[in-house]
Amino acid sequence: MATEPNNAAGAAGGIRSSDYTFPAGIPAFEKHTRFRLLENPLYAPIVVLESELDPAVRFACVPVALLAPDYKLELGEEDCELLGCDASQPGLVVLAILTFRHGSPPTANLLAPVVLNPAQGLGVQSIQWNAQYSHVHPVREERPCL
Amino acid sequence: MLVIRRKEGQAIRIGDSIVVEVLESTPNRVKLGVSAPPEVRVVRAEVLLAEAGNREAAAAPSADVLARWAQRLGRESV
Repeated sequence: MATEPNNAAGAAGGIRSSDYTFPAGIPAFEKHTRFRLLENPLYAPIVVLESELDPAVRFACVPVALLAPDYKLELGEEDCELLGCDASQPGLVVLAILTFRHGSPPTANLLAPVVLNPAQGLGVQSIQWNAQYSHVHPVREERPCL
Repeated sequence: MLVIRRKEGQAIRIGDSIVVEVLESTPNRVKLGVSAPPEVRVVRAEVLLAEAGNREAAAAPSADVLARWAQRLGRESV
């Protein structure tokens, strides 16, 4: 995996680009096995996962912990194999894919988070079979504490 | 919805070629065996939810929308 500024725009705007291989693709996009994780400070905490095969396939994501601080990720044997690690591996990045619909707030897919292993440059979309997480979890804006 | 009670070892048949058998039953989960022709796709329902969600989410929104929601969510890095 390489983590470096993403071309001239990245150097100027501070966009970080990291490459990840998704050995199994992701559901409905199984042929898309290579993604770039684009971190633009202007959009933080939102990051974009962009397919190398077709850059029009782009997923806006946020850290799951931001939406569900008590989220419990369960990684099955197959997911661990695809990630090249075990379930207790430190440093895994867990992201929820956001869906934006016209005229309503976005929703987040907590049922099937994207899990990244930066150490190996591997990723998987891990369906949480045994949990009751929603695939359309409402995203609400942060409100300052008064 | 058709509701059918079955025990371990019993099955239901769907059409001429699909059989769903109850292999194991515990208070929390049921283990099913599905026999179906290769052209019939058998997946857990969550896979279809993930596929549909990904298809809908696959076109990330415009930069304006991302920036607006980034502000609303608060600026924290991954």
